[in-house]
Amino acid sequence: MTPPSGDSTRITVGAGSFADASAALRLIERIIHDLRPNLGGILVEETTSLAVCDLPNQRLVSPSGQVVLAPTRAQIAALLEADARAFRQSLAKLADRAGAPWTFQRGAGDLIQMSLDTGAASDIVIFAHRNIHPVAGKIVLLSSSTATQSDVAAMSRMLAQRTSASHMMMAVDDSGETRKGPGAAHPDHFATLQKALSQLARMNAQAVLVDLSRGPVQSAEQLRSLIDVARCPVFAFGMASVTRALAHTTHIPPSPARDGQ
Amino acid sequence: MANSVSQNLPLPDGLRPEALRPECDPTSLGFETTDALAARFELLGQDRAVDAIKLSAGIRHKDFNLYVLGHEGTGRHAAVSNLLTQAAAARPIPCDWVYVNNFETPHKPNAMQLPSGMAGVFRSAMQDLVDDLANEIPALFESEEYLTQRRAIEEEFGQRHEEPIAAFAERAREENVALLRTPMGFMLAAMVDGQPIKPDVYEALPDDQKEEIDTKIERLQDHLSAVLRHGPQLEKEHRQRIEALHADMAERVVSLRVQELADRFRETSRDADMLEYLKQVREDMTSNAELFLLSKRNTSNGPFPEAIRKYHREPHFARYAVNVMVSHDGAERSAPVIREGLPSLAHLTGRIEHISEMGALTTNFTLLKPGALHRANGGYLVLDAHRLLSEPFAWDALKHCLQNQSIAITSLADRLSLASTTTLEPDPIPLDVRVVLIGDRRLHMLLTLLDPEFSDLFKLQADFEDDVDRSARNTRLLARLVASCAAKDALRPLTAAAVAGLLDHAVRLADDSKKFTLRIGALSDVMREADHYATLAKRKHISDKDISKAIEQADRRASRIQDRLREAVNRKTILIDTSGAAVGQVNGLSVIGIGNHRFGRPSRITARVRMGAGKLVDIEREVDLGGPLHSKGVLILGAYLASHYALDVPASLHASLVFEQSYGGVDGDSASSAELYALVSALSGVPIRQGIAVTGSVNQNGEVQAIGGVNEKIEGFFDTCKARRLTGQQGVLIPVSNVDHLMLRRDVVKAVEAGTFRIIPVRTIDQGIEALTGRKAGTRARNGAFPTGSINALVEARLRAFAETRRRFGDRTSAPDRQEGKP
Repeated sequence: MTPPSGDSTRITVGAGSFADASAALRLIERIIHDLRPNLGGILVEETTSLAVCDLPNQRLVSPSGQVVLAPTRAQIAALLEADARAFRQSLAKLADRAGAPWTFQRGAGDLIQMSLDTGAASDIVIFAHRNIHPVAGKIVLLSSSTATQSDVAAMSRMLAQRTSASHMMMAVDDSGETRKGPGAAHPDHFATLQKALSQLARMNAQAVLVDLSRGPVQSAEQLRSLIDVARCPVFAFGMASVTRALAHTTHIPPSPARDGQ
Repeated sequence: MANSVSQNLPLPDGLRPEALRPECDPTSLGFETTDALAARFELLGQDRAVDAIKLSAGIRHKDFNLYVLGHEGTGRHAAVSNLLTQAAAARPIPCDWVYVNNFETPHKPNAMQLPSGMAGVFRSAMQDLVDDLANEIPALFESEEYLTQRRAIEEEFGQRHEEPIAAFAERAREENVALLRTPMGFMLAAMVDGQPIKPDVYEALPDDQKEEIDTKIERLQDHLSAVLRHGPQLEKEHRQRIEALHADMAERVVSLRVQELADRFRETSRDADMLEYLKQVREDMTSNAELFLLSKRNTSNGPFPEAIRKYHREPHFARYAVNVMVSHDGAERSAPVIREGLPSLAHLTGRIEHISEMGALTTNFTLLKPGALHRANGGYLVLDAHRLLSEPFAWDALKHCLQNQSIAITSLADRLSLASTTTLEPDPIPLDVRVVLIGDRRLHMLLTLLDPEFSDLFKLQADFEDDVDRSARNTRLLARLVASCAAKDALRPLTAAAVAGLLDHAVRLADDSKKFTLRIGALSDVMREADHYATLAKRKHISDKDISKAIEQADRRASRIQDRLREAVNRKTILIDTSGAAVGQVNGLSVIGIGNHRFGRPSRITARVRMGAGKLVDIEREVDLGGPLHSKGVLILGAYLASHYALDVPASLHASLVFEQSYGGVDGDSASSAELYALVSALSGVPIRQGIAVTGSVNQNGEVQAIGGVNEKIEGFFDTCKARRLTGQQGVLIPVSNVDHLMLRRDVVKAVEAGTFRIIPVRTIDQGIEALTGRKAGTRARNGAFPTGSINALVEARLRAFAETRRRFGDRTSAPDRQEGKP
């Protein structure tokens, strides 16, 4: 793995499946030439979620709406193997196009925690989430009222431009008022994070960008709630300010083609 | 060497030299050189044919197509071309025809009629339409109006997707159920302490709680399933709304541009076809607007700005192309006169081309190509009959088109059911054409006899004469025609003597001193060769010497075999006597034709007789060397003998006739009089003068009838005699009815003038035998007897002697039986 240089943008994509990861990779592809990225990916086997498969008569609803029996452990293992391969190959292909260094690893545990742990030194951690439907939604910047002109805001505008999507700013401020912004360039204000999340839950968003160092999302729990309601990839900035101390995990070496980089 | 006998009658003098070669007088032509004549091509002596061509060209009813028959070189092609061009000038210029796409069934392209000269304009207009829309439609899809509407639809459907999911997620949360994502889909699990329940915890629960959890989970699963299953329906609706938006946006600009086109062509279009087509174009462009976006996506930043890029050339716009089949775009001022030199099926009716795509052959309406029938539609089509019939299925296809009055394009592979790839069934194009076939008489006869459709479709024939009367008027007209041909071929002018010499040659080619040949091609060949000799001699005009030389050289080039035969005669390899006399032997004459060259040669004919049972043996026929006409001649002369002599006794002659040293077969009856003379000589025992050759056929009345090639035959025998020295007792017996056909070489005429050769016309066998034997033939008196010593008397006496001998032989044979008492 190539050590990150001072000018490059370190991006880590954390996903529980390739379906989730591919949605995030598609977005990165749109902006990859605007950055000098250093890409990393981690496929997390969400042990808590996957343990549910062992419940008796557990069913699963496929993306097309079919109700089927939950997979066995062995099946899950095989699926995760295949997903890991696909994730790694897509990450490598994307990095090759931009001439960017990349790494890939696997882990088991909680997706959010592992992604934060792995991406502690990253500039951006993307919590991947699959597209449930093909209608492309907005690029949403969730910020505190004071942070609408930050680098993250600029990144969100750039992402919106590259994806030809509408750009929306949601600002959570202390004013106690929830009001719509006077125009597209002005954020919608929300009195609390909960209200903003409630609005976001009913919105068709393609990606949500949030600066963890400036709020309104600053804890892992808030992050989890955000990811649950957004139902799309969440770009998290400002890793250093996340409250939990993170431990490094073992890095699985990258593919042989990348040895020495 | 033959026996010499005394002859009581001298050899007749024969014809006067003037009758042997009635030459054209140069001074009667009325000019000194052809410079003085205006070059004007006027057909001579072909009124019958010209009237037929004019009728065919002018009559408006169908099926009056024309077959032009006659020999090569009689000016058929030039006459047809000139007359049809004149007729075409009076006919309106026909309309244009194009093929356009049939959007509903692309393999059946539509034919569309357009006013004359408009096909190219329409094609360009459609290309401009495509180019304009290829610029305007992408701009439309980048406009604020479109983007706003598109965003609104995306927003709406995004909401419609998200809201049920959000409501479900909320409900699940309220019921304390977690929605989990797995690689295969979504799972629901009850929550315990904010975490999904673990299996061991679940197992530890009481049954009623488990059941409650299970029921709740199942209910929520069904709810989630319903939400996700609704997704495709929403997507479909979303797609339809986008398509409707695209169609609506595209329709505005497409309608505008197409309407402009329709307005432009409304006044010039004669029927609703074009307007209907433009309506289909509008609908297709509207529903396929994404085609115009494709081009924009494929834009490269090349040196040419997009505004002038030729979008219509891109393959996906081929559906809007206009395939011009026939266009009369301004340069022409008359109906078409088309001559198709290679009338194959494809060249006549058009063809469907194919291109290779991914290893398979495909086609579309732009690959239809026109044929001669398309180009000639509304006018005239001239074809060579022989070439047409040589091409597989071409004749059939032509008849089919004429019968149906439409042009249907089919391929040879299709006709033979060999095609194993996509093909087309284009609309047939209505056909209004007059077809002129040019061919020979034999082909015309075969078609009339064997093809019942031919006479229905080709009701007219233009029969070109081979020759014309040699009148003073025609002499001048032919001279003018010769001058025109010389001018057309850029030859030197001819002197009057040269023209006269050429006209003499025309008489010779006609084989009739009262006629000129109308095979102008042959005369033109002589002129061109003469022009070459004049060039070599650096003369300003073609002289009669050049003409004579051209004629002689042409003969010389073709006379190798003739010379070898003459040499064989001179060396007595082939036995021919040209002096003395012999019984039962005569010099017959025949003509040999090799290519365009004909020459005469003498052949010894001998007859032998004896008593027999009345059989006349034609040795040529016995060995299958005699053709039917020759056999007919022998049978006729046999009938003459049987009906003229010894009628009161049974036929008791056994005779045989043969062409000595002839191994190649003989046909025709022109030697039948010679054979009869030989037989009469053999029966009478009177020898025949060997210096006289004979030609002429005989009928049962003893009349000598005309034959062909009289000039060549005379010249052939003359050359034989001249090679051995002319004795003044040599000549040729010819039928009286052939005198008008004489146009002999000048050296033969000179010999006759000098009295060293003679041409003797005879009307009957009696006249002929008198000239050949020098003895009177004799006429039967009232008492039924011929004069004593006459040829006929001697013949009759011999036949009676045969009969008597035979009778006595019969008596002798039966007498010993009677003496022995046998019954």
